[in-house]
Amino acid sequence: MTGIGDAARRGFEPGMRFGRYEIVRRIGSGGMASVYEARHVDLAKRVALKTLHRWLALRADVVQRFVQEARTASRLDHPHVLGISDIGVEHEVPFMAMDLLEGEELAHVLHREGPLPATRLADLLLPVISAVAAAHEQGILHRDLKPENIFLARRRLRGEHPVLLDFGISKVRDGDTSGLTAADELLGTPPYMSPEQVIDGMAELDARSDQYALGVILYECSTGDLPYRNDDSIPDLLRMIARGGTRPPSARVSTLPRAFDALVLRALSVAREARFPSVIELGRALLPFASPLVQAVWAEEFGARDSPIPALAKARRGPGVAVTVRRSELDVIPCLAERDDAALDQLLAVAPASRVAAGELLFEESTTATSCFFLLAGEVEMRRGDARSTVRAGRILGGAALDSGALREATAVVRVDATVLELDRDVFASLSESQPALTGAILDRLALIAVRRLREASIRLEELSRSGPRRPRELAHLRLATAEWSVSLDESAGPSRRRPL
Amino acid sequence: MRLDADILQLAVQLDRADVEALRVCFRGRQYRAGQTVFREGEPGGFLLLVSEGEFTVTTRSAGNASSVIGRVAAGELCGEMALIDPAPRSATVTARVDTIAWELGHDALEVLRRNAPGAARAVVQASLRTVAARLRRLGERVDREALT
Repeated sequence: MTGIGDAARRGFEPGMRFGRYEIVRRIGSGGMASVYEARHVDLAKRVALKTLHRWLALRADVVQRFVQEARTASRLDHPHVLGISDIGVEHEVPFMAMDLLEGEELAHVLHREGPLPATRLADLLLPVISAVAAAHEQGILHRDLKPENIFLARRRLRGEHPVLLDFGISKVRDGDTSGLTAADELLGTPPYMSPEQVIDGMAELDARSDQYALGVILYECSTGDLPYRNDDSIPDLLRMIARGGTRPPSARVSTLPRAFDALVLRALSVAREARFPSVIELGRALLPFASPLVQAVWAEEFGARDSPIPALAKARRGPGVAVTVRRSELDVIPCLAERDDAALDQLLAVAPASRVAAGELLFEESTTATSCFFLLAGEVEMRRGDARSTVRAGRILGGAALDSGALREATAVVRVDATVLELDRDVFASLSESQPALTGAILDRLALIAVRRLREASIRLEELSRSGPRRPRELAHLRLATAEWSVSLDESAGPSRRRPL
Repeated sequence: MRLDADILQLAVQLDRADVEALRVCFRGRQYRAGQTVFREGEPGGFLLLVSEGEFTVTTRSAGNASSVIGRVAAGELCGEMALIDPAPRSATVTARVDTIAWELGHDALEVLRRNAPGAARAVVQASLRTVAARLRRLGERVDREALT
């Protein structure tokens, strides 16, 4: 007959009692703990029982971290963080009872399926980013984000349900557990460590370090490879991380959109200041890549309502001076002309008008697009790479924002003092309830512009592809026109094919 | 055929009246594998929302050779350009496998605009999203063209 002490050393057998639980089977074992499927005897509820290895139970710091993991996760109480229902010590073995999940780690999915399309990845990671954001809100850093710690639970009827695991080395800022890791102790998983984690030690970490790890996960899952890899030497790998400069994801998987490149590379910036201000902003940039259903689910959390991005704030409060616009001034925009007064009054009430001086920035490439601009007067120069195009009054700038809120693909600089009306994407959505005809007309106009731009650009690309030697200037202008619909191809060099919009 | 679920692919926030209006206006169509849905150059006046199966999109180049430029899977739209801006079809669409789709004509969209603006808006917004995605892909093609 074996005692519970022997079992604790060797692992628990099916049918064995463990306090209020009965062991069903061993699920797995790692360096720190084993995980069992167990049944709460009184409640007849199936749980996952995580038991700390007995030899580690003698180390106070390890036990404290184990307890902290349980407390952190239960404190978060987030639908995408693994739930903890019980904690204790049984036969000198610290344990915690957790939700029993069926499914697999994101790492397994990646290994089996290879690179994931941007849409699937966005669908899977937005809930995880929400969980990380909830932790940050409570002053908790995860510090070990990686595909192995993201579990895709299978839920009947609802499909994959991402769950964030393992707050084992999390850190609570300003909490009583700050002394759990020594300042010179290197914790985490090297490929996912941020440059500051590699260079500056633990005391320097903040929420942007977790954001960097999310950037690594996005990179790895979209390309099938890590941004930095050195299987032979961890010190060399850490030096690569500290130096930065990985290739964009689309250089490895050509079908990935440039806007996706931009958000991943921003999260992977060596300088923390160059990353998104928060993981919520990262989620906001990722949201447009998600499927329509997932976009709808996460629109409230990652929408732009609460914290306008710096570029927008600049456009509203920096270079622009608030002005009052008369209804008649809106006539220059075709979809606003001859609309009824009440509808236009309501539009003017929610869309701020400003006068922006020549030389000032209206919006910048690679920033999140959350609004479009109606150019009522003046001129704006659109820029992308070496391409330049002047847009005159009557056009809608940055119109793609009303649909997707993706990253801007061009920069807009005022060329001749301009009057603009800025329409926020969320405001547009709410306006559509009270003014369906007006917002419908705006959408119709944007759709018409986009369709004509697509037709023109397809024809022009076909022409350029057939025309022998490469014509970089024309290609650059064509690229600008596909990125920013207000740029007409008819204003570039080359024959005019259709009526300009 | 699961019209309600397919309609919700367009916009999940539609209210019951809008879903009902779309249900009335969308017509179910079945295509056998290999069947032509519409041809490049034909007048276009309807869009299709794929419910089951898949379409293949092809165009003819200057040398008259046909090349596949895309596929339209379940939950995706095709033909939306002609619905927004009536013009000859820019590509030929054929059913790659037996396919079920919902058809919405230009006249039906006008009916929706007058009677169920929220439903019309959902159709236009879904179309805009599809066109915007194609513009992004075209932009990426331009990038590749510039590099070669």
